[in-house]
Amino acid sequence: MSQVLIVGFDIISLVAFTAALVGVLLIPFDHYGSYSKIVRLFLALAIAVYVFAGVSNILEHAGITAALDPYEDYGEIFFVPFVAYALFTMNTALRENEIRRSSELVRAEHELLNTIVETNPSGIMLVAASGEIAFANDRAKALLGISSDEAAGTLRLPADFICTSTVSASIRPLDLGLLATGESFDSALCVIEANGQRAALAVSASPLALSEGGRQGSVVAFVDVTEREQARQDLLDAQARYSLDLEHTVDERTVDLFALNRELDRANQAKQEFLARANHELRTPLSAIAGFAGALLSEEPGPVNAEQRAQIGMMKESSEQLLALVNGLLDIGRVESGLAVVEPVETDLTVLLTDIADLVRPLAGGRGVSLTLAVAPEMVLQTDPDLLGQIVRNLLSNAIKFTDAGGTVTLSASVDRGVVRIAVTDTGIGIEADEQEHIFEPFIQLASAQSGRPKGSGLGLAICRDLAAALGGSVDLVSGVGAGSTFTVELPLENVGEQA
Amino acid sequence: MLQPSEVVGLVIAVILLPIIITTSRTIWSPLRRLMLAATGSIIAGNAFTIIEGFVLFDLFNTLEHAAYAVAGIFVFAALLSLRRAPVLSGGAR
Repeated sequence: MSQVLIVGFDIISLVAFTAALVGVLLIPFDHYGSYSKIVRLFLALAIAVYVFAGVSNILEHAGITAALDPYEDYGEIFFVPFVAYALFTMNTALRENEIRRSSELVRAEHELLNTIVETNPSGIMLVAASGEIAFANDRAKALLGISSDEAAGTLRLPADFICTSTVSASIRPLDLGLLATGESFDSALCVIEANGQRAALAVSASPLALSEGGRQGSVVAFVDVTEREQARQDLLDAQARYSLDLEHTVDERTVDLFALNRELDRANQAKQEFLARANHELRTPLSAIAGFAGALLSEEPGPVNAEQRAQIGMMKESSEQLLALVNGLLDIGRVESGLAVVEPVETDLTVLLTDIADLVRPLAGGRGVSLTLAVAPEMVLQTDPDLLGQIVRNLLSNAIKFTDAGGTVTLSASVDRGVVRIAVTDTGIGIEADEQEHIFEPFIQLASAQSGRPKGSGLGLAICRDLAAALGGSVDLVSGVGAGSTFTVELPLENVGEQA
Repeated sequence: MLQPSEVVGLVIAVILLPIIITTSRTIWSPLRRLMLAATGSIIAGNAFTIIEGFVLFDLFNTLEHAAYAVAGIFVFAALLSLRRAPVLSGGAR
């Protein structure tokens, strides 16, 4: 039974090894390159050993012959060595292939790096720990004038090479001794002189890898910034020249302005003198005309008929208007020239406004306008009562003039958050929005307000504005067509108080 | 009966086995495993043929031949696996 089993195993062994032998002979071993034949040979020999052993065992256990048995025993010794050789050769082929591929990769990277370095617009060089230039690309050679010493196999800087930092004379970015120590810096500016040429360079350096003995020199990169630095210097020079020119121009203009200002002062003074003289010369005859017209109207010199009365009345009214205009011109001229001297005194605002209201009430009554007063009692203000009174009288006069009979004009005063407000409010015709912008300008007569109303000089509001400014305040207007107007005089509270 | 060639064969196989294992590490894994299995079977067969000279002749003789048959199958399978390997370990071509 065991013999049959053994023969069965031998047949299986023979078939398997024979098939493997055929496989070894047919399968390409291209994976192993030049070693493929050796691999194939050793595998074929190892397998052939057991093909032979299979044949020998079948013959022996089938009882045919045992003549091959001694050769089989010796042959079997070689199976493992053949397999070992085959595997070792495979391993060698793989290792060799790895080395070849690595070498190709290193060579490709080296070529790439070399191309980058040689085509780089920056100068690049390698300074060894000994202070010698171990490498320099073409750009570095051209910029620094580096020459090759063929005999010594080294690179050298020109004998007259000078490198001076633009920051400090003690810094020499391209000093080989400094670079040999592995100094590190970034974009250090320096001016070099080599072979009679000058150039500005921005130099960067990084130390090489550390070794047991310390730093191993530096990798140095530099770019030519001569044009940039020249442009920067030109710009600085231009700025300096421009500043000098500008200062010179300003000085000239200042002298011109001083001269012009003096001329303006003289012209203004002459204008004021002329105005004062002309007004004085005008007021006297105008007053005489108004006075004699009044006397004629009173019929003291003799009776006048109705036609004469009407004409004399027009003459008197015109002379009064002309006198008001002259007075207005005097006032505005005085304010503009700074001759309106503000003399602040402790002023009882309540009394002042009450007196003014009493003064203009007959005028209001004559036009059928009701004048009301809404002022808190005993308000005391440190201001010039004459100037303030003139402002309020002008505003009240305007309000009465432009309010129809049956209307109301209200004079009020209040103190709120540091400001005293004196308001003149009427129920008159109001002012259009586009006219409000120009209402405080001199000689402005609103076209919409002229029909059937006394003609003014056009200076009242301008005088109010200037006088309010002289008192440290302002005049504002809120108005709407058909809704009346409110002129508000605002004065700072610091001079305002209430009596205890 | 114990023969010197069988002992020599086993000794050589045992000595070379560590070398085979270490040098085959870069080889494609299926091929390597099958070749090592085949080598192990052969070494086992060598061991059985020595043992059969001392005890249980029939059993170990049968095991010896069975080991060779198994080794044959492993070698054949290893070569088949080699055909499936597009590129062997290590990138060899």
